[in-house]
Amino acid sequence: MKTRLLRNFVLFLLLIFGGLRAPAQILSASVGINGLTCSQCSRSVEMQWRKLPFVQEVEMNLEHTLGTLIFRSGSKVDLNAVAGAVRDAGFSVRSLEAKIDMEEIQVQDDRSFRIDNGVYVILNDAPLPKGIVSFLFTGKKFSAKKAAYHRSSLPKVRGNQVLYQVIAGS
Amino acid sequence: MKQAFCILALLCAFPLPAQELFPLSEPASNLPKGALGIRLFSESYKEVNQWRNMTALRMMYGLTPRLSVYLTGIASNHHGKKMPVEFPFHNTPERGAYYPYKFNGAHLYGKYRFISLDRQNSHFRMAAYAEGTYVQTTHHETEPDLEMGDNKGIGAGLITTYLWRKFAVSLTAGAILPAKYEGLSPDPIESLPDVPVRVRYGKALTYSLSFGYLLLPRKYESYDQTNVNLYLELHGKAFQAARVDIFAGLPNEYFLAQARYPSALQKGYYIDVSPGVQFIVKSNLRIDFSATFSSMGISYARLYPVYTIGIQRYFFFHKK
Repeated sequence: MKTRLLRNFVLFLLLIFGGLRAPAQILSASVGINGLTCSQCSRSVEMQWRKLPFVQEVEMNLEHTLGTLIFRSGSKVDLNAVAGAVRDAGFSVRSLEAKIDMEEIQVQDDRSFRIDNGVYVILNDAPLPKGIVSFLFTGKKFSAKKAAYHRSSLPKVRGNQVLYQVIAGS
Repeated sequence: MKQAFCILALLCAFPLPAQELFPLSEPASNLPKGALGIRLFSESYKEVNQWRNMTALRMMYGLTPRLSVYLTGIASNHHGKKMPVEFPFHNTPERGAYYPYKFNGAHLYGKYRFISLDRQNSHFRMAAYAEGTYVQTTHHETEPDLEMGDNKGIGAGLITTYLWRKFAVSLTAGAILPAKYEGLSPDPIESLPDVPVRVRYGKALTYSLSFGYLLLPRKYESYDQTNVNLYLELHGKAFQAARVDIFAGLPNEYFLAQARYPSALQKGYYIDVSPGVQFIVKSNLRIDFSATFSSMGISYARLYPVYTIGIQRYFFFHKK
């Protein structure tokens, strides 16, 4: 139990200080996984995630079939690959929520912003606080539920860009 | 059979019914992509004054999230160099004969998962499989077996698995098309040459219904908790009669009327029942034990009870 507390504390520190060093970055993600019913299956997902070069730490919650990923500071985070790794392990993504440091991110008039080759479109109209904001990702790859918000027009993306539709939280 | 129903009733009585890592049957789920699995398993039974044993080493690989392939090498002390003397009239199946331990051949298996309906604590999955075995073994019974290398042949089938919290159930239905075997049976008169025989084993339908229940841990806290799973598997085959040609390939070749065959070469069917227990250590090392008993009809290819032991581990490769 002590080891776990210590581990969580280290993860927390990584989350806070990792973010301070590289502001425009996806800091962490919490991924709900469907179809998981055993610790061996859970371990399979963890091992697929650990293969990704931008993943620094993984914490699995077996009871709630949730995985928390801490990303390497300054690395290019590919959330498509995060969802793909779950499918590679033989399971499905139930939900994906990522914490993004918005301090130095410029949100456009159409409520979209860019990080690396990702174009993020905010579907809801909630005011955006500065600092670390939690975003819930929508679409088949990232959610087992139908999105509550829709946009009639989406920004155009270039060949190497990836469009993510997100719902801003707090 | 009565015992089987008691165990089944016991499994269903638990409020939270486990795993789908059945000791004998394959679930519809696959290996993770890029993961390598190694499984060593062995099947033993007492025959007269000796133990027959078949041991297999299996390499498994997740080619894609939906497609897994297995390659298995099989060794046993279950097959002699020649068919029994006066086959198939007498000594069929030949019981108690000494056969040296030898490598029989290889079994190749592929499984493709084509339906996945995943929820938080449950999933429904369907998969199709195809298998083939290359061996050159003297098999005395019409019932074909590919997994443990009794016969050369091919097979295919469908697997449906439903898993809800701690309870899993899986149904498998398939078919086996065995290849013919051509070999020798010693003539009862020692001075005469061996008799060439050709055996066309029966085509078979295979079926199994497997139940699994996660007994421990009651609540997941870490990967270090040893998992204990209980299983009950009903499995069997329905097969055709064999056809045996004596003096095969010679001018005096003849076909022996099937009505004259011993029971082991006649058509038949059976359903066996196999209770089992499994331990998963540190969420990776899997050790399972099961025992197979007759419940309806019998298999002449084994003697009951048949004890099975398996040990398996996954290896994940990092690209970082």
